[in-house]
Amino acid sequence: MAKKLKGDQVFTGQLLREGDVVYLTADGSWAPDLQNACVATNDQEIETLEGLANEGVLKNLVVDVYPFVVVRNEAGDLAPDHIREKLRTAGPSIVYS
Amino acid sequence: MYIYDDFDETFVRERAAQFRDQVERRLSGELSEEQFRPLRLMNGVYLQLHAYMLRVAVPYGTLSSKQLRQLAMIAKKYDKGYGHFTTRQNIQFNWPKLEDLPDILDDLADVGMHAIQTSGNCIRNVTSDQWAGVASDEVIDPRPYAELMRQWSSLHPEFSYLPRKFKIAITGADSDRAAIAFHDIGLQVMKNKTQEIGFRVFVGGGLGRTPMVGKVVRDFIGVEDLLPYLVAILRAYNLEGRRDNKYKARIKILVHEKGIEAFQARVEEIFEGLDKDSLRAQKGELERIEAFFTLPDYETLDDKPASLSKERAENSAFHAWVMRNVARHRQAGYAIVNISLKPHGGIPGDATDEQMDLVADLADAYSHGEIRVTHEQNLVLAHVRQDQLFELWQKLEAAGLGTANLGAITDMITCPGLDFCTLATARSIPIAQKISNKFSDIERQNEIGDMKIKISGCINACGHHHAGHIGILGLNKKGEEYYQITLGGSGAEDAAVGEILGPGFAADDVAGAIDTLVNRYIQLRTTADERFLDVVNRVGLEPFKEALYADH
Ligand code: SF4
Repeated sequence: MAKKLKGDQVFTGQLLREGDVVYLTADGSWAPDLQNACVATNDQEIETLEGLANEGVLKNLVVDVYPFVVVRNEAGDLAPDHIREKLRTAGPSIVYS
Repeated sequence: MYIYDDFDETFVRERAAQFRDQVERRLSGELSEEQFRPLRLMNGVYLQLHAYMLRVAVPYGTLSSKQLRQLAMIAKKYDKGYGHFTTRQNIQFNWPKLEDLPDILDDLADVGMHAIQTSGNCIRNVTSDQWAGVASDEVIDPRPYAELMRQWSSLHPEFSYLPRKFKIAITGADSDRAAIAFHDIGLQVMKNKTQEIGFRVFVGGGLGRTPMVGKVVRDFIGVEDLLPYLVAILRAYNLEGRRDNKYKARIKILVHEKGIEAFQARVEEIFEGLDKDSLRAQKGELERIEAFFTLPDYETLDDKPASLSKERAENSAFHAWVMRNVARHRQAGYAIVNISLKPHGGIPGDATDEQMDLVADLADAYSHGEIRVTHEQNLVLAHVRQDQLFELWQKLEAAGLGTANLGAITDMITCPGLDFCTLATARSIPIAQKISNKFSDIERQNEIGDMKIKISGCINACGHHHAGHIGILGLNKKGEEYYQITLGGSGAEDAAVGEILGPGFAADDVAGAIDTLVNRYIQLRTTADERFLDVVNRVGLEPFKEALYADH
């Protein structure tokens, strides 16, 4: 599934214990900040990241792991391409508590 | 209200203990996510966009003050200080951690609550009229039957793996406040010509991607045969409902594809073949349950006391609140108080832990310690003395709970949408907030009159948009949210599915479009009493289309 997405990709998941949204970093750990995510820019990198991501699943650190497309915004920061991931990264767009 | 017996108590405790063990085994890696997911879902635990979500069952929307206080405690201790009341009269917590959930379930069990059957392909929480027992137009109190069905449907061995989820709603009044025609089974408690109590049974109603108004499958079934008849319907569905396609698996599709006559014939055939005696409630059981639902000992009071008239005359905000939020009670001198959870610009259905605590205290002080949750995401105090309304209102008002908009344009049903929900295609809450802000003027709202706007963030229609006088459905086109508007839906006794007006609107344009529709309605109505829905039914969609799309 990963290879069908067009563009640079990062892997995301949610921490098993807490449920928090996290992103896969280059060393296979999971960070809450998208800016720490490791970006895959070609098929081989995607495959490598997918392997790392699945290790996180097997180690019961994360659940619901999948890749999504990111772009660089004007400031050079990583930003999701799709509205769903934008909201997932930024949190609810409303004042909720 | 109903109090758990030892059986329920033990069963809920056991389930909480089982879940604790399951969570431990998941966290230790003994269970994989695939193995664990169905177990957590059986206990109302979902994984949403940002966190786990726990959906707690509130049987037919009735809570004791003690239970509400416990929910407030859970919101504060384990969540972010609030809870979200849903269209199924339940409450959801949006931020619990998996590791805390066993403790939360124990805390719920302490007050006779749980999250069982709030997910999965089983019979879900039975919902009912929030004014049950006290409504002035009620024929029969539906709550004892709702409780009977709760007990019957809890962990029902035959109906725990249905083709799809199954929702039952029941009302005992002429005005349908429980949207029974949009449920898999809708029940109207009534009396027949010989004054025997029984039920009119609707089947195959539902929203989602294929909205359908329920059809009458039985005009009258006596009380004794309620459970056998439900068994017959569910058995027909369980055997013949589609399991090959999730989107065609609800009973509404079976009823539609088979045709109501053929479905009815099948149900009657099964019903006739049942050993009914073995399926009926045990002798005396209904009476035992009914004893829990006797009305409080009301005092003998004057209806419409002079003090109330004076307070209304002296305080226009209070008067406005009484006009909209207070409903007629069957007992002289009492009133039904509807607490709006739709503050202007707020999040529909949310209540903070402090608000929950306050409502629990107010229920103790003014309403026999009982609270009701409505499918329109508001709360109800069902037994308030009219001469205490002013005092109560002042306390509600001070806590942001005095919004005088019940049944008005800003009293919108709104699903969580893309701000929380993994299935969403667009946000719903910000749309509701924009509409709410646009129409925040109470005088304008009263000028518009009764209006039901309902918003869903995807085709699953948890926000009941098909049943809105104005329905709003959030969709996504090439990464952009946009919103389709329907007109003419109703979830009441005149149940109808709204019709799509035309091309959708960008998020920023929705509130303006609603304004245009409302202005057109005001031009078109013949009297101030002619509701928006009445006008749509009278003139059709064309004038509204013209108003909206003339410039496009
Ligand atoms: S209607 Fe869609 S977006 Fe809204 S709560 Fe239901 S599934 Fe989620």
